[in-house]
Amino acid sequence: MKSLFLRAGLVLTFYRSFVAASAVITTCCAGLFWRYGFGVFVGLFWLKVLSLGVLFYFVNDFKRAEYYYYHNLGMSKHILWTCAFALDFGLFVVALIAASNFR
Amino acid sequence: MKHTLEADSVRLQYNGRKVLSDVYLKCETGKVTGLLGRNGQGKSSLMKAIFGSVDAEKSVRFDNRVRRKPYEDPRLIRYLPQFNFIPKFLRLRKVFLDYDADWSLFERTFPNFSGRGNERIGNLSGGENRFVELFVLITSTAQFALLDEPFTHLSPLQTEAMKALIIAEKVNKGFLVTDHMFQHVTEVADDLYLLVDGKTRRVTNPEDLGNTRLYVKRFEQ
Repeated sequence: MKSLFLRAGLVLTFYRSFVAASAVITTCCAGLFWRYGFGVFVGLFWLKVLSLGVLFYFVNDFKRAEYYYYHNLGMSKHILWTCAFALDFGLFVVALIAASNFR
Repeated sequence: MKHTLEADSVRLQYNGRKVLSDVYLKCETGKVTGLLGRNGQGKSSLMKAIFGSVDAEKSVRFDNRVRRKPYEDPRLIRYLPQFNFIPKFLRLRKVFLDYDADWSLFERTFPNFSGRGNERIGNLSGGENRFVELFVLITSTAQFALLDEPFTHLSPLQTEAMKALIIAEKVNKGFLVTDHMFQHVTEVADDLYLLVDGKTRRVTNPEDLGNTRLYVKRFEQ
């Protein structure tokens, strides 16, 4: 159980390395969704996917050294990115749902 | 109980250039193993290959059990890369918590860090940062620790403190240490290997150093 909490904490720590940039994109997407509705959903979806691709490229390059912090605690790059992307995409979906409720 | 780490038949190449071609290396808990070699011989690559963060053809065995990516089991191995690796935004206490290291012991032993648990890693000097990285890895619960350039950026006092810590902690684990300051490596090492032309060989006397012109003070006497 402790290991599970530790791993979840490490994913959150890793997510912090790009959460600000990602939050800006998500907020913009939610704003556009609130303004234009389902008509723009496909475009926003691909915008989010593309932005995550760009974030992956830059974080993977500039924060390369920090991977060893997580490797030393048993976390591979694959696990870190899969969990962080899942979390980020979950927040993106929640933001869009919230935006549609406020319309 | 004694544990062994053996790296065998390690082969690694970058862009067609062979870096490691025939490596055998054995570490044991209770011992410090030193790895010597000139710049560019592949010492860091060898450590990364053993750790599992670099893909290489290899056989890495812990107690005769082959592991492809040893780092995925943090009870087995930890690796100190030659660059700073702790995210700068983390606070000291958080790092100690993640690595299960004893903050109060650290504060007591090194009073200049006393009361600084909430300080961010990014606010530490280069030497302090390295010192913290070394401490959490050396005192971690893993069976083996690979230390790549551990004494770089440390002051002479910090270097002596870390050498003493390595010697004290080897009761609990095995170390593989490399540093361009060979003097420090040879002072703490029980066994020595020389990496040259992609191959390792045991060093037991000055002749084993061949024409590499490495100066190893332990053979002076």
